[in-house]
Amino acid sequence: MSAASELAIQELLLSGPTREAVDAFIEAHDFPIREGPHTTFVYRGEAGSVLLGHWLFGTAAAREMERVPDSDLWFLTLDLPAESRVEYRFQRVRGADAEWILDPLNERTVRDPFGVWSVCHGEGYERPEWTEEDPQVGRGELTVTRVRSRALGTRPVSVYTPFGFRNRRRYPLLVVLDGDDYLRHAACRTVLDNLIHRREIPPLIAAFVTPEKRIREYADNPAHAEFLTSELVGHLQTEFPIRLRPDDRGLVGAGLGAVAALTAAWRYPGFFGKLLLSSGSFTFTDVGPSTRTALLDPVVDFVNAYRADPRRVSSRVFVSCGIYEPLIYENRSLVPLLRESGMEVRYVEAPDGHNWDNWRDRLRVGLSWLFPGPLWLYYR
Amino acid sequence: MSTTAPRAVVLGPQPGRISLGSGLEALDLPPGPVAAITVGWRETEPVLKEVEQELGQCGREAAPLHIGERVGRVFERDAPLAEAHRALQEGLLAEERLYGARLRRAVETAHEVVRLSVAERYRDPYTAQAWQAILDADRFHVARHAELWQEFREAVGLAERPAIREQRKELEGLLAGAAAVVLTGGHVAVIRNRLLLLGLVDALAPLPVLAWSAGAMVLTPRVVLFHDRLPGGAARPEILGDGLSLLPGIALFPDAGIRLDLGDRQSLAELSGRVNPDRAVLLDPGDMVRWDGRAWSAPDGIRLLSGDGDIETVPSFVPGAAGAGGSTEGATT
Repeated sequence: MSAASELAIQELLLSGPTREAVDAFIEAHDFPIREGPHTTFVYRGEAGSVLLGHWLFGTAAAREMERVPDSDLWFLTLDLPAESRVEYRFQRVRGADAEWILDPLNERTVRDPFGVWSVCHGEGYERPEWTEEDPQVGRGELTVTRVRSRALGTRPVSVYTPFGFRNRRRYPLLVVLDGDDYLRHAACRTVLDNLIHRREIPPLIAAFVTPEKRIREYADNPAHAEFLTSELVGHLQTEFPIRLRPDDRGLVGAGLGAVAALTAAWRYPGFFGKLLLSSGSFTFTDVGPSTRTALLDPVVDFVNAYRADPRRVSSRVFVSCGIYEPLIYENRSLVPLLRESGMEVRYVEAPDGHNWDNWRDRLRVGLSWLFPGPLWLYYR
Repeated sequence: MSTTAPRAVVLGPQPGRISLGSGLEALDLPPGPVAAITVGWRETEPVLKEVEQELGQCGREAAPLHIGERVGRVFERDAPLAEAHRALQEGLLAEERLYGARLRRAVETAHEVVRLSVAERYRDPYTAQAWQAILDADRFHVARHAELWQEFREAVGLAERPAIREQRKELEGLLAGAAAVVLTGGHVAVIRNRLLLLGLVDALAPLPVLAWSAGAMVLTPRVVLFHDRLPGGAARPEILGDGLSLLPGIALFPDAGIRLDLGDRQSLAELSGRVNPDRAVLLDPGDMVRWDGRAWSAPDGIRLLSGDGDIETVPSFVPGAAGAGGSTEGATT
């Protein structure tokens, strides 16, 4: 590990940087520059000031970058814990104009429902290979079925059937909320293909369900809970060979989707035997007021009620949260209550934020714990 | 080391293309086809094809037993038996869960006793008690597992059911005409389940055996499930149940280099103790051990777990010859 004084940016500063030296510096490095735990973000261009905007809860959301004297080069060095993933943008200020831009020196980006972000991988982070398509792995199929709901109207649902699917067998069912996002941003189809191929999870059927009015449907909405437990699963059971035991039924959600999952399980205890809750927006106010939007009042009411009366709603619950998320406090607070209710709970924290890559990267440990595959029984 | 032609050869795992040449050569078989048992995993056809090709290259004809398909036909023809078998599986699953719960507590207690900072003279009686609780959990489970199977056999009159008798007769004919039998790796519970259902132990017993991984594990006295590197972390080793005991005196740990934490001496010592008086044999790709009817041996040595959790390499050993664990010949660590 290099000492701060030996960082590449410090060497440039000490050299009395000329334009040619800055050109050479840019040419010589990949950005952001990772040197042990130190990560140096760099922007080159004319500006009045440049800020680094990131999702690191507990630190300032935007931090001013320093200009290399007499140059158009800006930098900021942060210490990031090993294996961190940080999403960021630069705010370039020119006169009265302030513009959020991607890092022009970093090709690594990630797209989520709110846009595109540059991504910095801290020391030791690599995208897990099981999230990438493998030509040796048989691919499951996605088909669309339409599910009628009294309260929510007719909904298209993407249904994953595993490679080698046979109608004569019966399969566990995984219902995935924010389904389109899980498929698009968390490579969920590829993850299922790979984990099934490795025998880390059993072949299963997954239903990817996407909301139309997300906040209304996911914020402890009884109609949505009824849709999931009655209309959706009932419909799927008529079209696909699905096992009927609650322990063969799982519900997955992230963010507000995790709230929707837990509230559905709360309203229909025991229906889903397995829950996977990623970075749930489990806001509560029983110890003081919240600054959240009033749209989330039903969530607050639900979480307050759960905290007052924690109940066993499922048999196994996997909970994960990023340590850079503002929701880390809420998730840490929830875990002991879930355990206290008699459920088997596994809780995992990751040096990551509130984003799809984080939720994607936790799928292996979560799914293989909730639905252990035959790897344990398979000796090649 | 014995010079008698071996009666059984156990190969290391076959992660890539199956290779049977050296094993067949070591068995020194009389002419005749080699029966092949490839049941154990759903996608068995590619494995069977490979086995057939490999046997063909060694100048041997394969006699595939198609045990999985035969069991399917039995269940199609005999619905009450299929239903009773399904109920048996539910019972076995419940038994596994109960055993798992008991074992978890027993192992946690044993580890906590070891961790406590107290003088040995106070600790030792508790260590012994805690260890006995683990062995008791294993033994009770194995007994319960066997009881459930026996209840099933008796309730349905398994041996006398026409669908079973028909398949068994055909299989016994195929095995009687075979020079040897090959059992491949795969799903160890499925292989064991099918062999028990069809009652093939007696028909298999006289034949020279070439087997690896799951196929070999089911032929030992006791089948141990293990994996220290599951995505969710290490799993406690569990006993699946009794094996067919055609390969005596050993418990097999295929892919030991991948599946076991070989740096964790305490866990390895526990494994060794839990299979005692059988010896824990570690196998990795390329390994081959032979059974000549008296002793186990290997040209490059057999890797065994000692009672202390060390890995010792011996050229051969005789099961049960000198107290618990048998006698090793020329051990090196």
